[in-house]
Amino acid sequence: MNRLRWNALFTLGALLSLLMLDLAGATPVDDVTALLRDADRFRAEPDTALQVETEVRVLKVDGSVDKERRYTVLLQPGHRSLVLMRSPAEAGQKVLMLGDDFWLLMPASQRPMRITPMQKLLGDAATGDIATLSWSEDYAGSRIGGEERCGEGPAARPCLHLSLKATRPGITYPRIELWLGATRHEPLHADLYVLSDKLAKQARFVFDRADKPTQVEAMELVDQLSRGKVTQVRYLSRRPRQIPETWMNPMFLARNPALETP
Amino acid sequence: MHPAVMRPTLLLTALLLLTPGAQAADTAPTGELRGRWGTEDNALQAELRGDLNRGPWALHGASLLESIHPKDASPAQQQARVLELNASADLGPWQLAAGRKVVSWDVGWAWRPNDVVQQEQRRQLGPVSLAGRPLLMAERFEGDSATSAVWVNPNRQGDAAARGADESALALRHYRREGALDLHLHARWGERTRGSLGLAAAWVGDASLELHGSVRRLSHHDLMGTDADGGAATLALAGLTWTGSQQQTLILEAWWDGTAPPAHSPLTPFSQGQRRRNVYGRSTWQPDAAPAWTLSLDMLYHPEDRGWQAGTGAVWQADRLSVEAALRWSDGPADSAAARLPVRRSGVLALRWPF
Repeated sequence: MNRLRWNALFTLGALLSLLMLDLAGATPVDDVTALLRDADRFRAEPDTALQVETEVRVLKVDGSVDKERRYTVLLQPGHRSLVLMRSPAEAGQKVLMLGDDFWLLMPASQRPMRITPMQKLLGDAATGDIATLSWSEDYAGSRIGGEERCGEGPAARPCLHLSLKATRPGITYPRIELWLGATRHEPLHADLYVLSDKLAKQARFVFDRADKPTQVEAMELVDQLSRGKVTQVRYLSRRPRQIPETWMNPMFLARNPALETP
Repeated sequence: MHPAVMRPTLLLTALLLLTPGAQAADTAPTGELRGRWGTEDNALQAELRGDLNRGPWALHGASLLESIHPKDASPAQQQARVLELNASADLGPWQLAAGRKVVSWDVGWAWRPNDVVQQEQRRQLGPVSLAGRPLLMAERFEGDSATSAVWVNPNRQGDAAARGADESALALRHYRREGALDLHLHARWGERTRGSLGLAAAWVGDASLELHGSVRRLSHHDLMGTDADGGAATLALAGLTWTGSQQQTLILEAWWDGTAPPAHSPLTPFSQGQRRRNVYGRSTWQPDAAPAWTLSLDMLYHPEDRGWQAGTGAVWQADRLSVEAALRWSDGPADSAAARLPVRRSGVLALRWPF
């Protein structure tokens, strides 16, 4: 009888804890999908049509700027995005990503060409790095260990370690080790692995406010395959933008869409 | 420009300029300055591109100013060329265009059986500016498909001297996406060469591998460099691209060109060493230790006469400036087409400054 009472009390306690968590709007720290959804909101609201202006700087070993590139990324719901290269050295190049299918248009040839996921990694900045602003729809995984400490000195904070595997083929990095802030679940840093399970890049995220972050302002990528090449990806602006369906057709890439028209 | 192209171009341009209240979305002109030093000539070039947008109407132009200094006794040339000048209308799923425009089709790299409008010359050394063809075009885009109808060279209608890419022709392409597979159906009706039908496909097999193929059956073709009808012919290509994790890419292609002269036939000035059976490989590599550099090696082999053309190249890309160097040489048995080419060693050094 005592045992039954204890079981009932335990169940009631567990239900009350869940209810309190829900009322407080908090995410259970073992619900990886919910944690990823929280983390995504610091870069872009999931399933939102957006136009993101992005600046990419490739740094030399001494920290000076080697190359600077500008991209317009048009994100549409359903894993669809169009990347338009805006810098003079790449002007006219476009990459279309529809789920696991990718096309590239080079201005010299004016025809869309099918490319493989590996070809997305070529060039000064990997298109996958520029156009990927969410994890929750593409990855599943588990929490590793208990609460950890991330960062050093005054910036150190408690964090959660997630080990993620891609749920679809065609994802630039099939495995990601991701560390999120323990309180707000903002992404702090990540280890990105390519198909051969080699560590390709290490990412660190920079926020608008150090104390109460609301938005990722930049991502710094240290390339582990190219002798520590450092790439800074800065999100200059984000605004809602629904683009015509025709723009998501690969054969449309040969045209020059008027970007500023609402 | 011929009235057949001029009238629709002017109409679309007038609509573009006169559309009241439409929001303008003009992009700043862009372009490129180039210097090229080659074994056959030296050249300075300036390419300028610009767009003007008014609501659904758009005007696109690209021009090239160049000064060419041949290495032989020919006089130097200074010229200005209009590469593209076309007006277009964006009517939702329908897109219309008129004027001079680059329209490239098909799936191959070194050779394209179904590039029936642009008919671009592939495997050229150094940077090349494509010059568009005069055309009228209507396209319809739907979710996973697109249909394009092009009347190319309407200005050469009735011109018996128009050959190859200059022939007046109607061309159709229907594109359909089936997951990882792109399918293209092509049809062309040339004023003199009559009908041809083609099919092309590209398929991404896994994270690193892409396979492609293209085939076209012609009812007639022009015998190279002559006015004679070469009769029916088949063009076919199969190829793959593979990309490795160390930023290396490999392209392998094999093709059958039924319009090329058979093995051991006399070399004409127009055949350019073409042979019916061809195998091509190209490898590019961006070394981890020097990511600004892209190195390449390529080879075209003719199994019929065992002639070959080999090339190597290097591109150095800074923030804006890029420098490209390429060498190519041709050889083989004495009776092979490659060994009998008038120019068997060529090279180019090119500087590019985009703005």
